[in-house]
Amino acid sequence: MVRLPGRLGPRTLSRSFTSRLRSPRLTSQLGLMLGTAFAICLLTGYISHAIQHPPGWFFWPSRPVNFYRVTQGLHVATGIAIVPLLGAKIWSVYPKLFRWPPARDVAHGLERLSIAVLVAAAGFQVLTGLLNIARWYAPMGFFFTVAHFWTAWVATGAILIHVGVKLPVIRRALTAKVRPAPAGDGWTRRGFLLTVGAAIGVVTVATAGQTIRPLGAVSVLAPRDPRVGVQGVPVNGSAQDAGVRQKALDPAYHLEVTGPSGTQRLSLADLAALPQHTAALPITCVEGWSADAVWTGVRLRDLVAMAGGGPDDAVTVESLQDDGPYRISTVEPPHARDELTLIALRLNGEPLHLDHGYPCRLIAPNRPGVLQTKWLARIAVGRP
Amino acid sequence: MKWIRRILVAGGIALILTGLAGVLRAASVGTVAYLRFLLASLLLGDFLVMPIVAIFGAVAARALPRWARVPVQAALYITAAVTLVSLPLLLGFGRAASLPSALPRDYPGGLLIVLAVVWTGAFAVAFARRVRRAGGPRNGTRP
Repeated sequence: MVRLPGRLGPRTLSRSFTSRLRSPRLTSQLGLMLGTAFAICLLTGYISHAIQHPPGWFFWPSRPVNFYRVTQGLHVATGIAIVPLLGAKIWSVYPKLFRWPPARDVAHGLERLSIAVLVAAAGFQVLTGLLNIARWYAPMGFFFTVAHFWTAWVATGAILIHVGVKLPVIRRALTAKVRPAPAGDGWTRRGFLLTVGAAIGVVTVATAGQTIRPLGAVSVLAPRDPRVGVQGVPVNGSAQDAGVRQKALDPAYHLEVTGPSGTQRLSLADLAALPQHTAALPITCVEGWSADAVWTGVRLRDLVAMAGGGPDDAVTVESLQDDGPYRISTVEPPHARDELTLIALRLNGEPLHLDHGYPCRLIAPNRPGVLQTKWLARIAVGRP
Repeated sequence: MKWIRRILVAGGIALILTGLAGVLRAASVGTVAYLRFLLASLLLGDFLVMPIVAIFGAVAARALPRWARVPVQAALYITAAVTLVSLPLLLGFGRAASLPSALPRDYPGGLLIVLAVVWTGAFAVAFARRVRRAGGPRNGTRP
């Protein structure tokens, strides 16, 4: 609670916050929760990054089919849950912001600077993440994924410093005997933590339906509805925006398949004449939404075999797009040889809609949507 | 513990420098735009969101009877969190004619529904507290 003193000045401001709820114990408990949430975001975020830009040591399997769906759904849901958690954590130490004089000595000044970096980086991650899932890129003025990735390093570093500095306080606060709760019907620490949990519950239920389909009808604030989209599946990049309409609808369209045994050019009729297979695979967006779909088409491994490749080959797929960061993607061997990986011609029983990648697209298990390349022009055995 | 703390601080500094070096080297992230957003993230939370929440909380604490304070302050806090999360969706700048399946819902309506549920819950709790206060001593059940 805030009590406005008779004369508001820099010396009295921090003393005008009078809530008896604030304590090192509460702050430490909130810090533990926030640290756990941040660790989940860091791990799941790094997984998503590494799938798209794999370092040499990294291995990503093609099964379980829904694994990426879970890690990325968790990344976004946890990021959203951090909003009320971060708010509560900052509230619990907010009076310290106005401490006067601002720093006792140089070391204290540096420590406060590290907290400023922590709050800035944490706020940056949450804000850019929220803007990205709302597809509102203009306020950022930089490429989201790259900035979000590097700021995760900054935030992690600032958290380590903060924990390092505060470790004795945290230990004392969490191991000391618990002070009795204030009597009456004011706030208790437990009541406050329950309220934080309720806030997390509300924002989660209101949004998680974008990936947990049974919540679809309840999640009235979800950026996506897995039930809404052409052919019953949401779209993240239209043919019009990608500038592929004309090429994709060209009757002379051919898919080029290149490998050790040369190059073949397959028309849509040629592709449809090859053995067709059906797979139920989700489309899983990096933005945290996902939707189930049933795809029908040619197995990628059949095309690889046709081109003279084998089960240990990586495959490069290329879109009809002239540019864009996701024009080309590499299908690593575990996915390339998986029997569920298709060059899909049909979605939910109908020929692919133009926005879903007509004439044909890649769909593989356990893989981010941005790598499920649409409007395929070329498949080449080997890396780009 | 001294060494653990030193390692944490040194490792933290190294990670921050790695992150900042990554930003400086990234061609798709302008340093000025980046630092501007970083600073805005700091100021927005500390000097806009927190003061608004504090003012609402203080007004609630003064204006309301004791039994209503905690439920109303809790509802205010949840309202702030939901509003912040949904604000970019409410504003709807991310909508595009070519992508009708992106942001397909009525977000102002959705926010009203969520807030209606939250405040109904808060009033129910407040009412229960009032009844308990009024009835408690009379029934002799106060501990």
